Amino acid sequence: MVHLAVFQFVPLWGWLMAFKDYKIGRSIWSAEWVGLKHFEILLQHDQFLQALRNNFAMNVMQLVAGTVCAVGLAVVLSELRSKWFVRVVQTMTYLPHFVSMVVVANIFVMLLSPDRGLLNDLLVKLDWIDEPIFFFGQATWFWVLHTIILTWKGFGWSAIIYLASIAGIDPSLYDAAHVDGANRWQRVKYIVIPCIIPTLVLLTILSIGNLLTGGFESQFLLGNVITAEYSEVISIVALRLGLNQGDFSFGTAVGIFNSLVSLTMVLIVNAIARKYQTNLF
Amino acid sequence: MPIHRTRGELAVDVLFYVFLSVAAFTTVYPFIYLLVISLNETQDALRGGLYFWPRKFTFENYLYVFENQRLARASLNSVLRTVIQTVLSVFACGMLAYVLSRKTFMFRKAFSLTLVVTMYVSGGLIPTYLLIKNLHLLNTFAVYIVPGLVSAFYIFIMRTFFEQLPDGLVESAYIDGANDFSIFTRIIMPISLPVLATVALYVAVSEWNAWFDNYLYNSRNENLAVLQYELQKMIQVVENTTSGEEGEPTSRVISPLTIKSTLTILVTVPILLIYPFLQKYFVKGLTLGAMKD
Repeated sequence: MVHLAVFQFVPLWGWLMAFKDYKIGRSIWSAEWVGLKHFEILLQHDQFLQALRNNFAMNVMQLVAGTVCAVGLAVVLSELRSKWFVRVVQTMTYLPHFVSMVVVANIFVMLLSPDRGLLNDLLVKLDWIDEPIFFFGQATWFWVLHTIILTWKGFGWSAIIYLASIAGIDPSLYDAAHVDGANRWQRVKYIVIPCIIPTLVLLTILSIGNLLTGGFESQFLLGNVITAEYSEVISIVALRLGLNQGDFSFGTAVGIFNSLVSLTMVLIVNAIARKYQTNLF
Repeated sequence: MPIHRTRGELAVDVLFYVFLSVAAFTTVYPFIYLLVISLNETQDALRGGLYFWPRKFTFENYLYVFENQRLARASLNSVLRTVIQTVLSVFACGMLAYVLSRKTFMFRKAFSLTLVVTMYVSGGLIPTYLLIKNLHLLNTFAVYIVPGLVSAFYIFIMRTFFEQLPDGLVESAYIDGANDFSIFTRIIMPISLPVLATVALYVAVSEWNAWFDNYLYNSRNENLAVLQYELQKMIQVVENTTSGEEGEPTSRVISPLTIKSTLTILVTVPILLIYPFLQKYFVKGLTLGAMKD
């Protein structure tokens, strides 16, 4: 057993390092201890507050849109009888999940480009608009675009889990409903939806930890100078001010803030989850 | 459900089929569009109006990419990092997961809890960067491998699987004189192929798609660039010089538009090739991960 413990710990080492990031960050930060100065700066920092708002808005929008689309897809798929059709649709809708955000960003930048982008091309041809629209040039549209793109990327994949839970529904419920003369809509409303609610709650709870601080890649890749006011999230501000402009203590304060916030959220969420008897740990 | 369908239900069915076809089409079409552009002659592609078939079919964009030294180097890096990391990571996570799955292991609970914490708490960008710097991993290939070697999420997926294996298996191997390492490699790993394949797929996809560590740690050394990073740089460049120069018929026959599409297709194809075959595994793996308690 000792041998086992010793040997298996070798890889743990690599992992410990990753965990120590936090500790090392902390000691650097406390080495030049200046009280809560950096946090005060942080909480009064215009760009930081703006980033916090962006983070929150985009994550909530994406959580709602993503969940609705995934559940919708799963319900519709589960209602169909043609197995091969279901499989083909599933295979097609997973696809974007496996493709990198870089590729996805590239695709949408190209499709929405004002300069012979496909969407503008079509809209102009259909006479719906007179001049090409620079979609990524409208700061206020960024949240919506971002939500659409991330939902596009993820809905097929998230649907898998809902499909699995729909498949797990006891068939006798359907039979009973049929005897009671329920139609399809009633079946979905009174059997399918209630049965996937535990899964839905669990997944939502899991993602709440990231609500305030999560996200980076998509915003970084899709955003540009024009949309900065709406596209910069906390991590981007930390990167820009912290690394690129050398304000290390500010960047570190951001990191600690992020960790504290997500840890608090997770603890709160776990407490809530216990109530639903689906606690995470 | 042997229920005959009413006309109303049939209509709903048709509606569903149409709806799903549209959804599937919108997910796949952007890729087709890029494929078409990448297979079309460059100057002609700039005129627009390409939808389903290339107007002037050519492979010159692909030839250009393959002949480009920098991109060839980047492809090699991408492949290397994906292969190395997949093998190492599956092995390392597997060993850890195996230990944690053994009920006789002393600090089981404490370790699991510590692992869970890492899923939510991290040092943040700057401390991580400083750590990497202090470890002298900046501008090395190792920075792609070492920091991401083990991940709590994969460990939990594997642990759930290992816990379902019968205890007697390990015990009888002990009696036969096997040590823990050989039990793991000779008994546990062969019978755990489905879960190993799932994790391998996860690791491979995320390694193949990674670009940010390159941007952050290795951007000074061009020899260490990976494909996704090259693509990212191209997007950024084109975005910042929106319209303008690209219509100009310069001596170069290749435009950012076609080269970007070509690169995107090249980066996407390897994934396209693997994932239908592994679908069965990862769907199982995903639901397995979801049911962790």
